[in-house]
Amino acid sequence: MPSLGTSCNPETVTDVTILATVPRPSVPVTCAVGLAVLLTTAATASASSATGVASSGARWAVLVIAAALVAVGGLAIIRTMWGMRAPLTPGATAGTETLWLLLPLAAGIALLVWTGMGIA
Amino acid sequence: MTLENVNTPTPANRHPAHTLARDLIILTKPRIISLLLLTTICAMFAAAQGVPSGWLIIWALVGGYMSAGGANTINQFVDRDIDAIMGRTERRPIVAGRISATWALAWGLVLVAASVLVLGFGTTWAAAGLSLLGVVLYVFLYTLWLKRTTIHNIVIGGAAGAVPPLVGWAAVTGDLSFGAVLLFAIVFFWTPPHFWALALMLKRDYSEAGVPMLPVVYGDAATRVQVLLWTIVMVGITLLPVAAGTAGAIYLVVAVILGAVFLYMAWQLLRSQGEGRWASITFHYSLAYLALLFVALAVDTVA
Repeated sequence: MPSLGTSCNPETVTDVTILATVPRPSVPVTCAVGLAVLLTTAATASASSATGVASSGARWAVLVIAAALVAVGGLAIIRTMWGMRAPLTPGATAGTETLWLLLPLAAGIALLVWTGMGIA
Repeated sequence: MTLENVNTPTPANRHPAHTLARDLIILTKPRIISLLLLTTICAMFAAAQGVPSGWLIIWALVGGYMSAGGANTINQFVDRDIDAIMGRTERRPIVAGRISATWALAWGLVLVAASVLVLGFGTTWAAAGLSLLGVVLYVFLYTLWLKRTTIHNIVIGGAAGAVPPLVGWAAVTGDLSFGAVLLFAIVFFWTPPHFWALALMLKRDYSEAGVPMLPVVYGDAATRVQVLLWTIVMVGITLLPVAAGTAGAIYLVVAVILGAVFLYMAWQLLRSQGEGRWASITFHYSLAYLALLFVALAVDTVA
């Protein structure tokens, strides 16, 4: 069982502990963009067939929208969490913290590419 | 009271069988498993492109419950030290002394071993192997390593909770395709906004136990931002089954509507400035969201 580091020791961490000031993204803009692309997606769905697999063009359109969401969200996540990579315990390093931050987003990009290759 | 003295009850130390049975079930965390099993069943429909056989579903459900239940039991064995500290978990069977840690571990291991056999003989050995992989990820990657060492614990550890759709898919086809990977990804990217909304409510517990959950280390405001950002990414990922051609318009419309509501919840959570109400609303909505999304996927494949 891993030991707890001082940063996570109950005696030193309280519910008001803030280790860094995190930059806040332009959330209203991000949210507005997100909702706009969602509405576009709904329109794409209406334009495609009611049932069954959508046409190649509709699938590309959906993929572009998905990519936009992943890119907008992913870049903002990296921007806001980049300063949170300080290792907290002996079980963590700056390298692992960076890996844990980037790995899921890299996987998301890989899925987008994989999906695009499937359509092509 | 421990399991050892259950077999030799005394008037002062009596442990009725039904109480023991109840505690053994409590150790498996049945409420959590129900959502995992729903994703398993819906993935089976998607893999079969229709309705899979009833027996296949039953074996997958039984084996899936045993696998997840075993993992949850082992998790409580490992986390019994911090469970005793947190008010939310201090009444769990091991911490309360109703079942000994050793017997709980044995119960968990038996469940996992049995789940491999049930899934292997009842469905496919690929499903059994994937189920075992899920247990290993949950116990070793999440519980033993990441949970106490990094704020990214539930992000990477979420891979364990995303395995059930793979199990369901493999139970039908005997292997995995890209469609299965996308279902895994949906649950994986759903986990951060879901769990961080919960962590906002349980921050004091996690803080007292020394678990470096995001709100404990970087505060509520940073966590609320991350809930919104990960929700945006998650909504994008949920569109991929349509782009990949494994889901159609029915799923897409439902995914868009549910995703828009999730974004609204996350946005309200961000604006709430410390109100616990929106964290609770977002958390509970996230549960319904995943269930409805997977049901929509199943309906789409049957329609």
